[in-house]
Amino acid sequence: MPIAPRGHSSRQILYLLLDTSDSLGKDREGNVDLTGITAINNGLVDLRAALVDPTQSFAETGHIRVITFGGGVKDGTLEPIGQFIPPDLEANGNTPFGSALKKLVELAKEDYYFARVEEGLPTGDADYLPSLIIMTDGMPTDEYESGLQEFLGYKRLSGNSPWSFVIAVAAGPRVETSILTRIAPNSTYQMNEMTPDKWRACFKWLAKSTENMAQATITGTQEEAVMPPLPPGMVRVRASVQ
Amino acid sequence: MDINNQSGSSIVLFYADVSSEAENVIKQKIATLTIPNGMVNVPYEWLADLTSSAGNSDLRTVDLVGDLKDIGLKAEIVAGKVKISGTPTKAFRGDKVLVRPLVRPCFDNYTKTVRFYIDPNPRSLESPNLSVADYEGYNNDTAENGVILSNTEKYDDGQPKVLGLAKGETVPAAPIEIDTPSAVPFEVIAASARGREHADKGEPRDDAFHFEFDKDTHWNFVAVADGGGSYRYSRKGSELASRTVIKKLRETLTEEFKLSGLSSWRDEFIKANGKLPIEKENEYVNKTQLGKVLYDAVIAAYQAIDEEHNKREGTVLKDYHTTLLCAAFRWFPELNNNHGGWFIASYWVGDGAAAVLRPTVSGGNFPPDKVFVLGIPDWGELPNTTRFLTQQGENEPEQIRSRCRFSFCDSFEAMIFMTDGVSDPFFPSDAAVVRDEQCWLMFYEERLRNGCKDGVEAKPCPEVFDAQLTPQAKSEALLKWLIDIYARANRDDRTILIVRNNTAK
Repeated sequence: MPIAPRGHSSRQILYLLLDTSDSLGKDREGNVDLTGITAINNGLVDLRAALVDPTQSFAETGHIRVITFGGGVKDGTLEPIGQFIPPDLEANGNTPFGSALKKLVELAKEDYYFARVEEGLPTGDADYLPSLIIMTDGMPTDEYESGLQEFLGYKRLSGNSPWSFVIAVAAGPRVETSILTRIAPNSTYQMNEMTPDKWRACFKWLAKSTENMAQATITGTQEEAVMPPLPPGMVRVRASVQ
Repeated sequence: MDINNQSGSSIVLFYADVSSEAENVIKQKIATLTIPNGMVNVPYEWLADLTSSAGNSDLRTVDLVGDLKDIGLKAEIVAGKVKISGTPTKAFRGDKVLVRPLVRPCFDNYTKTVRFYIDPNPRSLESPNLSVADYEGYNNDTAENGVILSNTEKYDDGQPKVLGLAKGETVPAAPIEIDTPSAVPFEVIAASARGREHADKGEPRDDAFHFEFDKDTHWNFVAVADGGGSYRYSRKGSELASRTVIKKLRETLTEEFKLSGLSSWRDEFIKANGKLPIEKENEYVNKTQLGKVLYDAVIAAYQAIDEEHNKREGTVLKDYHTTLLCAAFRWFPELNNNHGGWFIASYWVGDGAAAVLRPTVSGGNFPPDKVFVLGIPDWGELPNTTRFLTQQGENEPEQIRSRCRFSFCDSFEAMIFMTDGVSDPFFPSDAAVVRDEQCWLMFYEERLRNGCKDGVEAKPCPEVFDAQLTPQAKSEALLKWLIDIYARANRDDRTILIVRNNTAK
């Protein structure tokens, strides 16, 4: 029997899985003033500003954790959004996406334990509400299939997906999206141009989407969540039929 | 929210003459500097050793420059350390705050960029407090009501009349083996307040409560309902549900209604020490007249909402989604081996909490429990999910019956119904609502009476326990108590209804 939503808030964790491989430090489109990594750094401060908006419950219960993959996998600490200081990321190395997915699952499990035990949340998992934004500009350079399987195998006690939402962004027209659509079948998007304007618009859209989705989760209307209109230069990517 | 990215802000540190080695140490410390964020109206303090070596006093002054100096923080040197402290008065977004150490003698133009934020405080958010009178069933932002349920008159012998006794009947004689309920009047006090979520958006309260007392039949009826926060007309749904269920119960529970049809239920209930297995309970609800009465009342509530939505074009039933916790109860002299007892028939769909509290019962009482709940809250796998009266399947006979409970007890001090806006902050989980007796007693005897400040902040509400006050005065105090509760991210409407022995201390 379907369970309908009630109207208040719960503990939310937003994971950002960000590509910081060296290609993001290069300028592919002839923009000398903005590399991908600078755009991501600028985007993070805008995202933070949107998420501390006090009219949103995320400002009070939201937590954030940034995981980057570029040369290796680096994990930021799990922090309440208010304590979060957006990092200055640097681009270097290859794209160990599979390892990043493994790290994400490992940390998500840890955070789940933290949320339940350390913060005295109930023993059921009903108050645990993670969400995920993935951003990458290239193909994984590692063996990613096992990481992908770990990600897909991470479930709630009930066997359902734990994520309240997953948004995957392919930054650039040449990104192979078939991996992303396996992670986010209905919410993979592609940036076809990477001009400063398009980057800014993308992060603005991500912030708005996060707000809308978080709000919808709080009021329990995920299925009716209104995604903001896609900015020019971004398109939704459909999963290809296998 | 008007917080612009404030550039041009910096923290300027002025140093005495130091060696170039010492200067390098200073620069190194500043290179790895992070400054913790703060929040408006929350006292802030940050201390950092930015001298060339601990205990050294080469740091002379520190200044906040630009927009940073107008946010209620001050910077000073305390025992050689940089101290930034104060209570921020406004939000500050410092994506690029410059930290500039001016080190004599060279005054090298070294700077470090840090991010520093003072976030707006959700607690001090000024609500627009708009009213939205877009529906005839518009609820006011708050409501409170209190009455004395029973006749407070005394019999000739000075004994107060007991709620539920028909005129002419006498107070039951003190039993030999067990205590009877105190022969005192009961009162109902209730309050309901709009939550921050709705207040911030200028939306109305979606919760509702209703109660009635029938002087002829001595039945009492109480209900609370929580309209789903994200559904358009849920405030009308909650109001209709609570009023209709009581109207229908009152119509059908006449003076002729006797408990006799429930004698075998009663025997089993006693045998099971007040803990009948759910299947047994369902069986009795199914085959007794009272079960039918309760079923009809719930159906009436469902239908009233259905009719309302049919009358109003462009709406669907779920626009009126609401939970419902309700009970019909009265004193029956023939219960409990004719020592008398309270009989309670309840129905509960959705979240929230409802229980009978008996903090002072002893082993001789029936049942022996200090707390028994009047149903089971519905909660889903994902946060913030529950079930509503108006949801598909909830009008099925089996479903309704499985949500009905019959209970009786020889005495009680309080019977409490609340929506999840109250139960969420005070009960760690829905499981605690069902199983944690201590949590219930703590809620009533500690948190309500004395207030609390342990994760959830509530002021004391001793008025509820003050026998000198009228129920109306108590409910006004209760309303204030509700409004003042603060729990992180608890932004829901709050409603509580308490049936209480008004001489209990």
